Amino acid sequence: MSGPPVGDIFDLLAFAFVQTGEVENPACPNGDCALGVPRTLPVYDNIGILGLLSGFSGDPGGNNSGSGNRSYRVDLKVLNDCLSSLNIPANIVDFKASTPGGTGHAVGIGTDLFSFKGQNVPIVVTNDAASYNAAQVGALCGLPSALGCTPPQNPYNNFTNNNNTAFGTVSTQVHELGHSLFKITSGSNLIPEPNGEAGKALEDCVKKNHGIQRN
Amino acid sequence: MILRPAAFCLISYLYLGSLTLSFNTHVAHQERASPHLKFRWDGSGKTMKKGAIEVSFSRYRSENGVSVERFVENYRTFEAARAEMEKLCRRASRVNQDGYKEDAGGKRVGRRVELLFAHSSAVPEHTVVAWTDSSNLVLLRSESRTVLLDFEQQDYPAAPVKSIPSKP
Repeated sequence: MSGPPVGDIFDLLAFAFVQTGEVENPACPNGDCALGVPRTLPVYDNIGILGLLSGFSGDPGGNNSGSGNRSYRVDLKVLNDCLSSLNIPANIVDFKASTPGGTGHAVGIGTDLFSFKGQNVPIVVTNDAASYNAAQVGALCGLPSALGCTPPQNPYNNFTNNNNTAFGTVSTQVHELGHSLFKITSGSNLIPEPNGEAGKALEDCVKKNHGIQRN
Repeated sequence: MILRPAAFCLISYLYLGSLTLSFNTHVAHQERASPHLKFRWDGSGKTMKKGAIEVSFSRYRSENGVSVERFVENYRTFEAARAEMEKLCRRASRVNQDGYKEDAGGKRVGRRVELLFAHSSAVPEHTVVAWTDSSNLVLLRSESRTVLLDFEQQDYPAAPVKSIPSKP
């Protein structure tokens, strides 16, 4: 039996990228958004269907990295110890690791100087590893190409390229989480960052302490 | 007789007033002498470069609209980071400074260079300040040298840069 007609694959892709809903943008308290910041963020609940394209069903985010169906998780204690050692005032209570072509998030509580004038509030940082390849992620941050980007308008929603390995996707998610949390907790002005770059510092610390583990 | 204490008070008052005025002028002069630009964060991320393990970057914009980019390139060894810096120096149109980077405590971090890259078809003239920090190479880049040095002073406060003493 021959494979599905080309039209079916495109239908599948179109279905996967259909926006299924919207969530309030946490960067907009009470609906008040800064100029250029969207009031809501799109939700793509069908993205998991892309797993069918790579011939396996265990990875809800799909996996186009050639690294089999490996998936990773992040140890919350290691992550929080690293945040604490970098003096980033946030405590993560839930972390969903991104997969290549999928999305992930970190939910925590911390001091939000970016949107809430330093109040201790819930902070949700989403990582989109589905929408853009490395060239497109680079364009979001003004570079020819990038593995990850935390854009200035909305550090609550960062990006990882969708053509990375499974491990590379999670480690970039942690890296971008460092950038996001540093900016959210410190505001948007220039403040010297721990070890030069908060994203690198967090990723290095989590990796060094074996905080990214195989499922 | 009655006027004497009053005159003394008046003289004291005028003297203290002039001191206060002089102090205020001095403070105002200091503020004018060392103004720092304000920078706004303009995005961060992670990218790749041939030879480097990974590169972390951030972009900032000064209040007068000048962009400054910061890259922290991580290499496998200190030697690899140093070799990359040498390569950068060779590519520059001019080496404006060659010295050492020190941290806020005056401790030497690594070699620091200030490089000028001339205008080319791809990029306008820009200045790069780079230094090694163990296996990392830190790079700051901007089209304005003044803005770049002000950024460096605020982001990596350090003791003044010293030139490498020439060998006798």
